[in-house]
Amino acid sequence: MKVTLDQDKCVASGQCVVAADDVFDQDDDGIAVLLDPTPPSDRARVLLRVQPSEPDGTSEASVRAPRPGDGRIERPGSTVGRTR
Amino acid sequence: MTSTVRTGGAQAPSAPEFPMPRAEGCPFDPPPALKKEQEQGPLRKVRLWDGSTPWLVTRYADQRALLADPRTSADITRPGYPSSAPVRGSSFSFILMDDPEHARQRRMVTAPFTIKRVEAMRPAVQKIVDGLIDDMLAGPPRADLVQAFALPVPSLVICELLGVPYADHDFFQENSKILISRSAAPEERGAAHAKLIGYLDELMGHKIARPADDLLSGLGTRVGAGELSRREAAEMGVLLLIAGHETTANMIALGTLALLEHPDQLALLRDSDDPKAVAGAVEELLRYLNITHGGRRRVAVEDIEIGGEVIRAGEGIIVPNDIGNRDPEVFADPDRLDLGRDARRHVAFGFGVHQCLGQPLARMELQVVYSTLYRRIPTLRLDAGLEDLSFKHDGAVYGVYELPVAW
Repeated sequence: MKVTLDQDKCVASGQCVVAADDVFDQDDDGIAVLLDPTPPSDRARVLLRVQPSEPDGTSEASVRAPRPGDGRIERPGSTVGRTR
Repeated sequence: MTSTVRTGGAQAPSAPEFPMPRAEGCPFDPPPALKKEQEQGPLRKVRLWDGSTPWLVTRYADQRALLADPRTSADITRPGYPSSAPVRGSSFSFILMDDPEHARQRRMVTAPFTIKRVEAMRPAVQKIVDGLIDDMLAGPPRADLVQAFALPVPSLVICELLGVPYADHDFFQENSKILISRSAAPEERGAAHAKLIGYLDELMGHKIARPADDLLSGLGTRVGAGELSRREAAEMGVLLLIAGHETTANMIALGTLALLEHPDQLALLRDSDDPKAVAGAVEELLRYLNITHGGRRRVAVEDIEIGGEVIRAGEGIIVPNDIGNRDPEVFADPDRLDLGRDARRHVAFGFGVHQCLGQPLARMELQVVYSTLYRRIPTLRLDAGLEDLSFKHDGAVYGVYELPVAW
């Protein structure tokens, strides 16, 4: 699977390191660092837990698993949507 | 009922007052009236002390989505912000600011809270915990656990980390207590805040003159470099000092009470030497107790739709994480304390850009405490009736004022 990381959105809580220290580390200021952008797909369960928030929110890490259509990973049932 | 929910504005005249009281005899559960709001719909209206009627976001998934939504603001000076008391002063710490200034200031203090540095502190915390237990065991077989143990552990740790002399703990603990009390008069709280700012400012002067290897000295260097005003540095120091001891202290004392009231669960912790089981137990206690019980506060800066209803720009939003952590959609049998469950998704530390920056430290301290206290004092028991205890209903952080224990 493919893992991408947006450091600008990292809040330095360190939870990605707790969940998967083979994939993530932190720099001296706590900002997440990607150690392995292509971890084995059997890590998917753990890694999906790392991604904590909405696409336009404050993900520490955005984790994408290749699937048909390469859709984003579904997040559980929030009803918050965009008005426009 | 759906029509009532949809016309949220029309519901306002009868909107229930917030915060709501907990039920007598159920000190660990959120207020029943708050749970009822959750059952009635995802978005409700409540009435605050000033008559304003902000939205209440009742469900876990919406709470997380909103706390991570850049269309919300944590800026207490913005019109519509649902403050818990009259807003005084013009200088606030970064928890009441938005990005990019919030992020700029927050990143100045994240370094000591990385997983590696927190883990490096574990032996020192273990030593503090063991030392305090030694002292308890050397004296008479009863104590107030708050004063003898729950408060000193995190106070000693945060003092070491910040570079604050622990000898001043009576001063800062007393003023912290007033500052976060809902029942203290605004003038009293203002005075306590001013005293703490004055104290930190003076300390900052010493750190600038003679830097040491601690967080305040690091801030002092930034003041010297013009990245931060001395006032901002003092505000940060006060924030970290309070957040560093009040929260963890209440988790230690209230957590111990919850475990004493659930002896089967306490036995699981006492008899386990598996760090993973201990870490899991800490997450469940964080979920179950959710001591920051005042609701996270935000104001919408754009229209935000939730399940067919629209929060308009400028309207206040309250996110009560205590009922989010008891959402039956996410946690099966949510009102049961079950140390064996996977509770890691809880929102006790909040969520989004403002989530607790000290959470790795809090977790480690609680892991050390819970895995040590009941093992070393296996006969620990409550030395009072549950009904005789006085709970911090009036505090921004929930807990127990005193916890008489014997062994």
